[in-house]
Amino acid sequence: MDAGQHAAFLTRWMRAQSAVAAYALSRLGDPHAMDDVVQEVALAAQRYFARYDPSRSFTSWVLGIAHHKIADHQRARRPTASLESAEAEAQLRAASERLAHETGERASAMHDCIARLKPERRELLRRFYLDGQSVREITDAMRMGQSAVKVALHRLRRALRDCVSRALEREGLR
Amino acid sequence: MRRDDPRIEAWLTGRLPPGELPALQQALADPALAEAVIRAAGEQIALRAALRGQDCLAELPSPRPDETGRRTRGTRTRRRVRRTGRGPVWAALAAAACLLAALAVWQLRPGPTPSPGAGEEVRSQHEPPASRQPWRVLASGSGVRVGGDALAADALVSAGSRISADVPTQLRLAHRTEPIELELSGPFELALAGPATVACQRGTLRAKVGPRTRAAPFSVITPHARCTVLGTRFAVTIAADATRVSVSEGTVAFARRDGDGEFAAPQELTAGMRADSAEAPSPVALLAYPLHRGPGSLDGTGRLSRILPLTLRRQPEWTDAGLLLDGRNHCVTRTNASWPELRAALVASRAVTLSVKVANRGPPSENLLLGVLYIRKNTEGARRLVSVRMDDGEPGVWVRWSVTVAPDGTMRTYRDGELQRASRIEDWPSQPGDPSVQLKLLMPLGHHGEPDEDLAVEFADVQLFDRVLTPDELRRLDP
Repeated sequence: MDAGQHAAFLTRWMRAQSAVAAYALSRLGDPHAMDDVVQEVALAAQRYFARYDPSRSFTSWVLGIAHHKIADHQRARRPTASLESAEAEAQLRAASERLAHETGERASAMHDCIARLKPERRELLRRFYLDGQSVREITDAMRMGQSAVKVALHRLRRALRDCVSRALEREGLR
Repeated sequence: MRRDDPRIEAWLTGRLPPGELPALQQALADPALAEAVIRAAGEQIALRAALRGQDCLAELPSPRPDETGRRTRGTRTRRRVRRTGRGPVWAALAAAACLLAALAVWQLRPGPTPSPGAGEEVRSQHEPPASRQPWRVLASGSGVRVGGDALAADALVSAGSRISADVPTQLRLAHRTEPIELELSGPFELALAGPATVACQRGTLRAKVGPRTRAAPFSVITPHARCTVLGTRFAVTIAADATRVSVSEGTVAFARRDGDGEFAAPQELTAGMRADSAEAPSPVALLAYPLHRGPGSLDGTGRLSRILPLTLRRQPEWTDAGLLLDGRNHCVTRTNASWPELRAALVASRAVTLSVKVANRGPPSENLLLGVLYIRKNTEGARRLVSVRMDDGEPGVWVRWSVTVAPDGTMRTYRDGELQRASRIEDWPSQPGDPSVQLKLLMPLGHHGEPDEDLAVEFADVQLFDRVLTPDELRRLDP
């Protein structure tokens, strides 16, 4: 792959990556496994980009690779719970493709919404969504009451959802 | 199930009780609910990426300038590059390129910037957000440049920027929202690949990193290695042919790049330890047959009679598909129905090294078959034979034959660590894990795999690795 092809690949990948990640997360129900699968899909797609047919949807192509990677992952991780019904897989894949553009824009908008939060609010989100801490663990670490943590998370989720939705509406996506 | 059912978020954050999964699976037959799940998953992805300060969800290697020519020039190009001591040239490293592309896409994105939700405080509007310019210059010596311009103290620097100095000088940077401080010295070249990733081509980098989560470590990528830290103080020196790391405090995971630029399994360094990318540790075989040297290793029917049992050097796990050696794509079958059972069938992944010691004990034999790569797509099969002629060695002299196959399909054969020949396998699986592809590395023995009563050969120390060993590593298999 020369520099020109690489740039072409990256441009497409940046648009499709969120859809791939959303599909993988919806299938696996495990954010860490999703990270691994997305990494593997990206590397495989880059390696075989020369075989990609530009007349087809790039998102559809990488979702196909993701389908195989998820199957590999599930084979290796059994008996971990995952969505394996053929019908559910088909619906999730189709929805991922339909919503690919919106999913990508949502990611871009979220960066700005998160950047404007107070640091302690980001810390709360980071603990819950990135570190996977329970409400009780957050309560201990941040010296907040359990109900205060729950209420704060609920309000943050709603505020972020509203912030992102407004951005998507402005771009005619919602 | 409603579209805002809390079980959806519980599933996507790994908090759904297993007993609830069947109901969710059944409900997903409804396209509207599938859309709701994908939207919720998109929110989770966006949230995680934003919290990590990531624009790019995967780490991607940049193209190698010699890649096009490498296909036609073959191994000579590779060897020339190695002799110069520069290794594979990772001119614009992984995430740096990815972030540049992300920024390009960002610039094309129409529409105004969204505002935060009601009730949430807005940070200073006087400076660009840290998500776009996450680094601040604390001190900058003369000669430090970014994009051709001199870099002054207190300047903000964007993710994806490349900072360099051609003269001995110093630079200190601090992350605006994360507890990360970097100090560069000497002529250096640094790409700020992202809030949690920097790529350093040369120079010495000292880093002080506050506590981080395992989900978002801080990484330094060099042409020879990658250091991943969760909070520590350490120094990285990038020379022309190697990267050296010394740890002052905490723990650093140090992963060397192999000859193909892939990262090897990381080595954990703690305070006081040092590592050098040029001094790779001994490789660990996926499996190895016990060392056995003696007549009768190969019987009159061309079968290895004493090669079993296997000595597995990793914890194995039996599955329906065979013997699973790790969670990725390496497995070994017990038998192969399409070949005589004693031709111990080895199913490998996309990168493999098979190494064995052989000694001729009889008259010169032709085409002792050491390995076969058998690629089958659907009903069509293709074989690649790796044959080793035994008529050019001294009787009774042990020779180590090794075959490596790189992920790009390049197959090389070595005798005592010296390259004998190389070729490409065009049918190498296009998509790893493609169920229509069977890839097997077999070890049939004898004349073209057929029993050869004249064959009298001893075997020893058969080893299989799940990566491509370098010639040096192959030589080191024999102390």
